Amino acid sequence: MTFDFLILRQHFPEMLSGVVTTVRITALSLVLGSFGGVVLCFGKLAGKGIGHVVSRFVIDFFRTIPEFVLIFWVYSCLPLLMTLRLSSEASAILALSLYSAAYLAEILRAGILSVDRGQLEASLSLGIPTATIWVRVIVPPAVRRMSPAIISFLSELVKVTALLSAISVAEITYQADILGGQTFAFLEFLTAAGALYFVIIFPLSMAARYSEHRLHRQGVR
Amino acid sequence: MNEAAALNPPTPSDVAILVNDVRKHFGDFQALRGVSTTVSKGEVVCVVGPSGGGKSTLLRTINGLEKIDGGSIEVLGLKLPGSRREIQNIRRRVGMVFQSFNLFPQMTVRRNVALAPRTALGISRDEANERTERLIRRVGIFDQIDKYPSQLSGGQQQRVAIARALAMQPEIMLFDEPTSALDPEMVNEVLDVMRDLAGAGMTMMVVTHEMGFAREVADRLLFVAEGRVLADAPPTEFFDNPTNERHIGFMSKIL
Repeated sequence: MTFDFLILRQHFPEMLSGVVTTVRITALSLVLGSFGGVVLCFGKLAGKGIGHVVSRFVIDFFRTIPEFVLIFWVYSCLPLLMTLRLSSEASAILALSLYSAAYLAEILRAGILSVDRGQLEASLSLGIPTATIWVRVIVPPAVRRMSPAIISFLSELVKVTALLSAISVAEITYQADILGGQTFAFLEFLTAAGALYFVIIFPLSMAARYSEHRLHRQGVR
Repeated sequence: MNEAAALNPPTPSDVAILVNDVRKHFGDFQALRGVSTTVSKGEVVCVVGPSGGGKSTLLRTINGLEKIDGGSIEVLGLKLPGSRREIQNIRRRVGMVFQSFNLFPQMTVRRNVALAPRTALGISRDEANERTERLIRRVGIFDQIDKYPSQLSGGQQQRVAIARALAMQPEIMLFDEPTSALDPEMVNEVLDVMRDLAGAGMTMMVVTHEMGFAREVADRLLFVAEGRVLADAPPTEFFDNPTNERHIGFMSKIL
């Protein structure tokens, strides 16, 4: 069996559009998920009240169910319950945003809780306005501490997008599968798909490793 | 309360801190069981006693870091428990120095000191900078002004923390075991700064184990144990003539 590079070159535009779709869905889900994550994080940090209970439930729920089920459910069951009809890509973004929000909420919460309580007390005792305390005192060390976790979550998210091929979102895996079927060149296209994921994710995991290393070097800071 | 104070109760305008029957519990643990005391303006009061006796809790109730469960506190005429705004007002007029310094690690010394006056008082950049440099010079570490806290010794960090609190131009300074986390050779550099402050007429409340410092600088000492003020006396009486049983026991252990 030979590996036909030519056929990959012929279908380069379709594969590239798969990459674009993967990146677009990942980026949108990450951004929307961040907003949701911030809300859920503060809900859970409140420690009591209805917001806390709801946030905890949402976080636990979306972290427990398999991503595959979540994606299918949003795509096939949500339209049965509501009048709105979502395109497969919109369903994908909705499902992955919920998934991201739940995970990011926990990452953010851990980052915020890792900030030394003494610094909060010092800034309170100085009478610094609450917004300034968040922006200047709590967020910078929290972000620095959670950046490795956020980057590795991002690699997870890229991998999860491969599941979207099941609801015919034209991302990398879907394109490879379709092109493979049309040309009988599964070896070429699925190998190429793997290589493309590697090219996207490997730099991310290097970045995670680098930021973790930097964190260790800074030690007490 | 000592006799002189009882005979000549301070007039309201002379009172910096008025603590009245304050209670505080953490779960089942009763940290303060009805504490009352008065600190006059310009007075230096040292608070001593065994760990877990309520000294730090008492200090932390005064600027609202701990909410009280009973009684009341009046700081510079502002009452606790109070609204957020009132608590904020108290905090802007009362400086606090912590055992573990609590400097902001991601900021240089200069930024640590300038942050509160810039953002809470809204003074100009130039004025904040001028104030920062003056205070850092006053605590004797001007050559370290652009370094990060992690590059400084413990004693230097605590002096930055004092300068940071002073940058708000507080009328009262609270010190919560300011030298307890320091290596012995660095204790004096911090106490010297505190001596200067006391000499300049600052109203101070100091939780400390430094008996030499307390004897020399304090106008009054409180012995706090089991969540109560068990003794309240000027230094000579406090050290040489303790009357409370727990106080006598404590003094015999530390002297």
